[in-house]
Amino acid sequence: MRRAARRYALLALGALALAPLWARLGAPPAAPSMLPAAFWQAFVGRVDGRSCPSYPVCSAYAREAIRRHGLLVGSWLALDRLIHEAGELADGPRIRVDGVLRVYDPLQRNDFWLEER
Amino acid sequence: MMRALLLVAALAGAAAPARADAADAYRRIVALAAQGRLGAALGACEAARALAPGGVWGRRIASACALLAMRRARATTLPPAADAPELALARAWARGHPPPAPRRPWLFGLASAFAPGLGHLLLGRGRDALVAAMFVWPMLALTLWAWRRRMGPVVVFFALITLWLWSGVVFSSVSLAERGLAEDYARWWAGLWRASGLPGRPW
Repeated sequence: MRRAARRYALLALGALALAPLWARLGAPPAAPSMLPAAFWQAFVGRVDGRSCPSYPVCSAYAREAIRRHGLLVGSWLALDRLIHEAGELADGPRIRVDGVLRVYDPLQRNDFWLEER
Repeated sequence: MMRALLLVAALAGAAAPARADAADAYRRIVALAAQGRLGAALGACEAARALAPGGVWGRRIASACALLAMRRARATTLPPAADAPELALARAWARGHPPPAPRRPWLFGLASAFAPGLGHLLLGRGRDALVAAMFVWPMLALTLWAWRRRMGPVVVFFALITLWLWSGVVFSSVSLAERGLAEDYARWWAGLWRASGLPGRPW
């Protein structure tokens, strides 16, 4: 019992320490579905650099897709972006962002048919 | 002589604002359509028609609105309007340029449900098919491997990831088929607009 209480206290302290980190991610606590993309942007993206050749970048695209369409359809849209990105590199529409040519693939280009239904 | 000059100046002064208003209304319609706001553009058409019932700009507004209504409905047949030369030109172009063949996007989804990557391959997107297959097939193999070893909750975990990836690949092939259809139609419609000789680029 005492051991369980110690573990609980440790977890509570851990959660308390995580709170500022959560706030730094910019993800509202009521939307845990946004956490994976926010985590990617805050940590992995910074280490990995800008490896996404599209504009908007894949994590921003995923966040917007999940915000607009919910976790399931939003994550499918993000997956669809990862799938068709390779094909778009050859002949997709381009846009110059900060002096770099990138594939222009906004969410509206891929979710318009969901809006029409 | 002086009276005649004054009359001409007065008439020109009265006619110019009406023409400018109609031209502005036309430009507003084209700008709204270029922003992708087709509903707003067609709404502006109603007001513009009342503003310029006749004349060159009135005819242009009527023709542009007919073409925009066609684009909104993704129609492939032009509305009958014998007196508008713009629509006659567009009709002549359409005779030599058939609209894109209709496809059923769900068929590509069905193909991807049967074999992940097949839908993309049928769409002519070989690279995407490879990526889609690389997402699903290894994960499916991993799930079957865990299932054969009776790994319990690990099987459920792998199976859920596989299911999400597989359904995502089906969704992707339907989405790309829908997008391909829309983009093919937009290209054809842009050709129709150019052939009509109407000023502006509503895309």
